[in-house]
Amino acid sequence: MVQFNSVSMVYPGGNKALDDIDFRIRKGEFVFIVGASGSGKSTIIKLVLKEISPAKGMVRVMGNDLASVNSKGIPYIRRQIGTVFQDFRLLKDRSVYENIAFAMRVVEASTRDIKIRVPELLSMVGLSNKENCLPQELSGGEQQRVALARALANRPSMILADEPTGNLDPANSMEIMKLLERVNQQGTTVLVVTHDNEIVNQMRKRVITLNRGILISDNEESGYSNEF
Amino acid sequence: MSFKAFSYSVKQGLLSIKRNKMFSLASVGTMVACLFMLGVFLAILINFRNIVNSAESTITISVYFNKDTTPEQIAQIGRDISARKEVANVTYKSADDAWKEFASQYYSNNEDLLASFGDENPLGESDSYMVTLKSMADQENITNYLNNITGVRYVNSPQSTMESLQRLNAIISVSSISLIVILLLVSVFLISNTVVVAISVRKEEIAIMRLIGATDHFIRGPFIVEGMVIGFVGALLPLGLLFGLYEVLLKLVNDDISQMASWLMLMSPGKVFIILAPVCLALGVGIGMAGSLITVHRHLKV
Repeated sequence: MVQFNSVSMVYPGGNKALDDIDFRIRKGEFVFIVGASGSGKSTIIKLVLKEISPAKGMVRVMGNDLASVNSKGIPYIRRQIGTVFQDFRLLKDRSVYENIAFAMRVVEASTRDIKIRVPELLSMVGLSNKENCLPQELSGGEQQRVALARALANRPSMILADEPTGNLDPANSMEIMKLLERVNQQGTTVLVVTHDNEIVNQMRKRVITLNRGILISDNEESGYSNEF
Repeated sequence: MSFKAFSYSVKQGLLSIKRNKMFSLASVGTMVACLFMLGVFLAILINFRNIVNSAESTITISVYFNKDTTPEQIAQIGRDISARKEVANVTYKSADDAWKEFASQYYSNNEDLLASFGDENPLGESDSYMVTLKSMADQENITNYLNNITGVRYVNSPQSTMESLQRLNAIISVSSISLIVILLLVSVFLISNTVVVAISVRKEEIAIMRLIGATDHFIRGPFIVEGMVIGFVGALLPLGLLFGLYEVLLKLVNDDISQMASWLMLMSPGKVFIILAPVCLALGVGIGMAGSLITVHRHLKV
């Protein structure tokens, strides 16, 4: 699903964000990428979404070597990845329903499909009664659930969550994690970037740990028993 | 682009105009001003060209004869001139006709003064041919030819008038086109500014669209539509205004001024606007599209 082969990334100014990183995430896996601020977590997300290109090495996403994907092909790769962010990134002038439908309109889904899919997703994240609310009328946890519903709207093969619990209290954080776990159980690969060790320890999933751009541990072989 | 993406672009483009009402209005306003000026210059240009063309077809060369030239010789000269391929028409005007025409033009209100001439014809030596050419470009050649005919006393060729008209036509054309180009550049710049504002207002939405997997066309479409709609409305309004003003001017010029200067006849609105309307609309929409395209290429790297 995602493969990093000897990937290094240097930002303009000489700041080395990743140094010779190797890992592989298989279809259906649930993986955390953890590390302190500046460890290179966000760079991994940007590389997977091809917002940036590596200085060295190869990044493969869903079988595509991203170096060979041109600018016209990028949107089609991104359509297979649902993204969730710490700051939710919802459109404040549109209702909960419209925010989710927006993701489907962008990929030119039919109105009929939108009418079926959006209520399904709202029910799944437990917000059926909030479809006409504006994002600012919802709590942080609810907004993140809308963001997750939007990420799932186009039935992606993978969910990429960048600090999804960063702005949430422990109860809401756990609720989001449970939802992600449910999505994963239905076959969607989940990659969560976080520095929330509490969550990571509770979930007992595969954890890739970064420190200053270097991969320092990956508990893939040890049955996810390592504590972060 | 699919129909769905097209209708989305149109809807979002119109919505964006509504959201950025003030900037859109400012853009439409400047477009109206620019295209109005452009329309005025174009209307002047179209009419002036028409005046020059009709002047060309009405200006004639007059050929006068020596006192001793016989009527037979004059008739032969007439046949020779008519035979020239550059000549469109040759009309003979006798000295008597010339005097009658002159008298009716200048002495119609002064019978006493006219009577004082008695039977004498002051224009007694003014038998002439009025020669009309197919093209004024041949004027110099024909004038030289006429001057060299034996029996011809004087050739009155309005060469300097034509040259002045053509020079004025060139000056008006060049200055109008220069002004039009400047106005077009100003309009492109203004539309571009409006689109920059629209992009910054929708920055967050665009970022989300990129992450969700929207294609280039899908993201850029609404901005292109926005520019085109501003351009279209910005062209439609001055066209309406120009049409109204032209009708008023037409009435004024053709009813009053042309009594004094018969050459100053404005073309009918239909003839002017069949050129002006498509040019203005195409320019308006084109400027809108160009302004948006330049801006989205610079500011929306997907």
